[in-house]
Amino acid sequence: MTDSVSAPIVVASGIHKTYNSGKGVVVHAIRGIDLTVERAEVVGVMGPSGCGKTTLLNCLSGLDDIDEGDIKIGGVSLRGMDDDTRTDYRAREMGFVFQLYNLLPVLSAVENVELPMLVGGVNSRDARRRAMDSLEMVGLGDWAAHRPAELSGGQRQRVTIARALVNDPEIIWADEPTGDLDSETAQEIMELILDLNERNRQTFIIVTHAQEIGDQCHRIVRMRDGRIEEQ
Amino acid sequence: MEEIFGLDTDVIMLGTLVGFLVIFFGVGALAVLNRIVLKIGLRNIPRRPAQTALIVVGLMLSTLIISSALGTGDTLNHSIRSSVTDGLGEIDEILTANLGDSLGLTGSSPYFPVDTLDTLREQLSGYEKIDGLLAAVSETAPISNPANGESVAHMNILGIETADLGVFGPVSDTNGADVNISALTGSEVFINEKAAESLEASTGDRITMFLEDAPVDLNVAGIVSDGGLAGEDETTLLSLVQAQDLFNQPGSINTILVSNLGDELSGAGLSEEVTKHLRSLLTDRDTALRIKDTLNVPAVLTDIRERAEDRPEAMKEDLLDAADLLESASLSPEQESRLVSHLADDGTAAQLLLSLEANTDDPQQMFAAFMLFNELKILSVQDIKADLLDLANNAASGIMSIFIIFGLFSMMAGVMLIFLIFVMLAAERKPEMGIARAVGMRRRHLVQSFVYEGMAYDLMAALVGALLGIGVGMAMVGIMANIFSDDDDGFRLLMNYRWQSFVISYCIGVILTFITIFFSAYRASRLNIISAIRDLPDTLQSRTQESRLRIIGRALASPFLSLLAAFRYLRRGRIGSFFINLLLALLKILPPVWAALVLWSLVRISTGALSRGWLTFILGAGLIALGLVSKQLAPFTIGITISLIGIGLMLRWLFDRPYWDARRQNLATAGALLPLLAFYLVVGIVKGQALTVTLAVVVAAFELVRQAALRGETAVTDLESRNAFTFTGLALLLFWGTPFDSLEGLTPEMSSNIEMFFVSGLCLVMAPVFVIVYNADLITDILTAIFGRFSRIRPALKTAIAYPLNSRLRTGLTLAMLALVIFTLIVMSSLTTAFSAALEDVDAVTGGWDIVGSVSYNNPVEDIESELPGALGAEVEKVVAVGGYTSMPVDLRQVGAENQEWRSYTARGAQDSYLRSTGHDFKIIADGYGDTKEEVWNAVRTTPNLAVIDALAIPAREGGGFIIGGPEFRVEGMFIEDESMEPLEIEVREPRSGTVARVTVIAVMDLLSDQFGVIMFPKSVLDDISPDELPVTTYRFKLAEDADATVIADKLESAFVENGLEPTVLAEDLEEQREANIAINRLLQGFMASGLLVGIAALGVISLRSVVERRQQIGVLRAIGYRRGMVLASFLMESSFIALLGILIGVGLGALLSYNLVNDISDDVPGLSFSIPWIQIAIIVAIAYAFSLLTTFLPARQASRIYPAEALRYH
Repeated sequence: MTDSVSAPIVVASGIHKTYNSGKGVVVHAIRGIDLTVERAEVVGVMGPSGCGKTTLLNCLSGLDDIDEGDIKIGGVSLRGMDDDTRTDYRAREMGFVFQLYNLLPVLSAVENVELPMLVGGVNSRDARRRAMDSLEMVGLGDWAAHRPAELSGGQRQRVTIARALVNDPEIIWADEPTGDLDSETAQEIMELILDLNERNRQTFIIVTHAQEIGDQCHRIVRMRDGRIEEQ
Repeated sequence: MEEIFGLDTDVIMLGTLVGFLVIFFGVGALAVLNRIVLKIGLRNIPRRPAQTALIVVGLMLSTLIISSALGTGDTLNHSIRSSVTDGLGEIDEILTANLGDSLGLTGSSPYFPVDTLDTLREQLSGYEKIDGLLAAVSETAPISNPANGESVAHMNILGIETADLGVFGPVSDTNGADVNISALTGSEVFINEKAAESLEASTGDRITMFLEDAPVDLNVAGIVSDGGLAGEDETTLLSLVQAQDLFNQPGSINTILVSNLGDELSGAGLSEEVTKHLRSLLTDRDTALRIKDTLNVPAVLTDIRERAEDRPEAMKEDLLDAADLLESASLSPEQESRLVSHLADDGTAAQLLLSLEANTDDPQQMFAAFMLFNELKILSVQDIKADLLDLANNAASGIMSIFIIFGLFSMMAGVMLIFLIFVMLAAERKPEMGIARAVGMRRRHLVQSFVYEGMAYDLMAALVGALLGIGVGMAMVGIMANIFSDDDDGFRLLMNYRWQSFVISYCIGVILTFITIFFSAYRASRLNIISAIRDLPDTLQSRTQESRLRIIGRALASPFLSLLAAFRYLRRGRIGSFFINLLLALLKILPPVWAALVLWSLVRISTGALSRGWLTFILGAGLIALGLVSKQLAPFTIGITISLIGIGLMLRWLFDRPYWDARRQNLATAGALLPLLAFYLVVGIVKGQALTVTLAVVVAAFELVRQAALRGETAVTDLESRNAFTFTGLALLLFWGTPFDSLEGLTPEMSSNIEMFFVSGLCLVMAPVFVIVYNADLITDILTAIFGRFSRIRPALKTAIAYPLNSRLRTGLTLAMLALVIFTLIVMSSLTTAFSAALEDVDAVTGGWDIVGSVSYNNPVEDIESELPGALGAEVEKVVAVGGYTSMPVDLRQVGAENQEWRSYTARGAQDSYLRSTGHDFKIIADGYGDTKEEVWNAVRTTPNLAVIDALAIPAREGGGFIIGGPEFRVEGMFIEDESMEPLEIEVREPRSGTVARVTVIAVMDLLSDQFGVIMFPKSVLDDISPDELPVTTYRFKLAEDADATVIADKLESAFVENGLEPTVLAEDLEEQREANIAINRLLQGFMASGLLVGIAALGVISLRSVVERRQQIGVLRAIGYRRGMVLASFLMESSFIALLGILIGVGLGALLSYNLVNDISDDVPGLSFSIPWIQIAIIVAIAYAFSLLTTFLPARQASRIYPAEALRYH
């Protein structure tokens, strides 16, 4: 991070994103969005299906390119980065949690968690230790050797969160983190997120369609037709 | 080709075509009945064009291999046939005096009056199947061109009756103009192009012919085109009168040329009939009736009838008919002709003589009978063209069989690929199939939809494969033509591909692929609907819901059920469905189809018992018993393999219950392995086999490491399978990897053939694949430990290894495919290296001789030793020894053997000087005749009637399937693998006089010896049985170390030109053979390497599939920090991991089998030693690896370019 501790962590200005879905159909998914997120904030992004929530998250996190505007994360513009620099930046500074867990089925829980560290060049022993710490943090220390297929939905999502946290990122992007879970498990996951936010002062940007999840966020950004309707 | 593996090609074509049509119409009828299923199947094809292309490539390979092998056979067959028809022209049969035909070495047949032809013409008047007869004098003699010293040692001299060449003519010059042989006068002759080339002679030149009395000068009146009467070999043509004068045979001829009705080729079709007719005409009827009197003894007739029962059908009929006719008191003219025809047939005559011999103690009576048979034929008929055409077919069929057998590995890999492709297609479509089942589709509909899709690929791929096979076949023949190109032999390869070959390869390709598709479709259809819809890991439904009785009942009644359905549709007025069901009923009632349906139902009901292991074990035990009883190695070893798999399956079944926790399972697996390890350890120590001990120790060490690694693990998935199949894999490795004679002494002597190469390859490869796919984490740990320190590749490596090791079936099949092909290539190159090295030991092959040369029978060298100083001048000092021998075709039989038929063989009567100096070594020496080759040769030289024989006459316990033709005589009661032998008593019969000599064979020559196909003894033995004096026909020369063999050979040639001496430098000859051997092995390797395409295509299919399957996971990896390059590297490392592992298994096992093979054969072939051809292996490995990287590069690049957001959105 290059900027001072008090500066916003995400600053997006005038971003546009269009998709060419083939056969001449162009979808204007994001239509000129300006958004600022402060450090240690938990922001919920809500809106009806197809309003551009996931696209916004993908663009803000650098998973996708934008057509117009600029995005600065911690004061650093994503637009000027080539793919490799952006990838490395993502590995260092960001964590991701997805609705469908997206764990590698062929690796055990601890191996899934340590993967981002191995990418970052951490040595195997340290990576394993920190992955175990991370799993302990989400309450899955005893399940480290199990593969995703042997875990419940809630456990898998905890592994995903552990993986997102393992590099100690400043910001964590979560796309429908509770979308595939029952309400009780969803609440547990949300409590875990809020707890981590409080303990580690990490920023969470959560895309969700569940009002009860949104209600627990510090702030809700509502979207409709690719625009921010209310924040 | 007209025959493949001894079966008529038309029959094979018909059979495969019927199979194809049954499948095509059967599948078609089902498709019409249920069109929606057909649509589901077919609409999958255009979904992924790249994948479709790869599937077609994978499916076509088996067809390509068959098609190219058949094409090679066709071209060779056609080329040899063309060479035969070009060389013989209209000549179909040759008639010679009876006594001459068996003495082929003289090149000359006895003369008979020219009137004989007139008599024959009269007898044949009205017989329409012969359209030409021509009187001729046929001789051979040395001819030289004094102008330049060029010579031809064995020039054919053909004097022909010129009055009416009829269908045989005309003979034309090189410009195409007819020449008039009758216009030749005095010493004028025509020579053919080949002779002109060899003599470097042209029209007007004077050439010299050497006859026994004196040289004769001839003038070349013109050069005539090769072929037909002018022949393909060096030939001099002149008129009959000129030839009669030249050879001092006025009014006589020694050959009658016969042309059958029809052209050059179709005439040969009548050969059998014409030969029979001619033989009956050219048989002396009075002699036949005297033979009848001799044989018409009740005991002899009973013996003939008993003997007939054991003969092939055609001969059985002839013998029974002959016995009846011999017994008849009086014969009608027609019956007499039949009897004459039977007696004139050599095969029948041999049996009749045996029956007489069995019932008489009087050798004089036997001799008289033999002479009667010899006098029976006025002229002997050789159906020369038909014989040569048969030979063409046999040679082509032999070569094709070799290609097919060596192609079997690639075809097997092709079948695995087809299976893999459909397993992966099923995995891709699992959710759709689950939904289809949920909405009411039956399991058989899923099978059908896969079969329709598969059939569409199959029909396309087989067509592509059959067409490409033509090209590959042509290319292979072209390469072979280069290898064997010899400007002198005039043999040209003419590309040919019969349409029957195309139909056969297409139909076999379709059938083979269909069967594989059907099995994989059946496997895919056994899915659990819920886990399929949710795309959860496979939970196969192994047990069928239907009762066993019902399944078998339905299969048995299947044709009738279809018939019933047909009538049901008819009643409802659905005519289309009626006809289709009727068609299905008709197809199902065909016995092979019906049997296949019942067999399939049996397989279905036994899957449970098979997978629990006990039935598998019983099947294996049955095969072991079969192998022991029939003394065949193949069923025995396959039985052991299946039994070990059965034990593995039983262990898995046992372990799959709560009592068997991890500790108990591990202990039990080690316990099951322990007796095997102990057994092989003891065997290795007792037999002094370092390899057996090493393998046992390696297996034990592996198991210890594995157990240690497993101890710390808490969550091991599928531990029971892992333990069970590790046991099977390790046990198989011990059984197949140890030397062939490990079990010798514990099992009876068993015979085997080339099929064992295929079986052992397959089983050997299976063993490590089992072990590796079930213990993959050990490899991961090792690799991570090695490469883990390189931080950039570590994460990519982790995923690269984790994925393939998680998909056991895919990885196992791909490993097996690659390993199998690499394995065969390594074995081939190791063996080529070993045999080439063995041939480098020139002395072992040549017996220490340096030059060999044959001389003219008509003008032999009187005393070569006294003539040598004059011939070689000062160089004579360089000749250390010279020795000669005479070769002669004789009949042999072994005293006391079960088979008492006379069999032809070549006898060599050697001069004392030859026996004194030859250095050929021996494979087996009879007890009491010394231990060294010197002692044996000395015994043959000094003790009357001792002989040695070559290794071809001794049967082998193992192998020997590739000998095409070869000598007929085979010894009984011993094998080439034996260490010792008893002296063999052999009777040698001179075929013309029937005189028999008895010799004692005291040793068998080495396999490497260039004296093959011969029995060798002192020349005096041959002289005693031969009716006339035999000259020495071949000389060998042994030179001093510093001598230049080529220079001396040239000098010998020019000095003995009038004797027609044609010297060959043996070392040069051997080197050419060695090079040709290496080249042909390279070609075979190239052919087998086509299987690599299978492995490479498999990696391509897997990579393409992985990119699709892991799209979202790739997105996640990109999100958490994998750069594009890392994704690319991960995919490349993944396929490298499989490719290199497969290559490693193939190289290791190939080296292991080659080591065992070479060690086994080296007992029989001296000078053979195992060495690893590192350079060749490096080339094979590099090519295989480079191509596998290339195939995965495109999908890997595609994966690396996936945009993370896009991948994550993708569902």
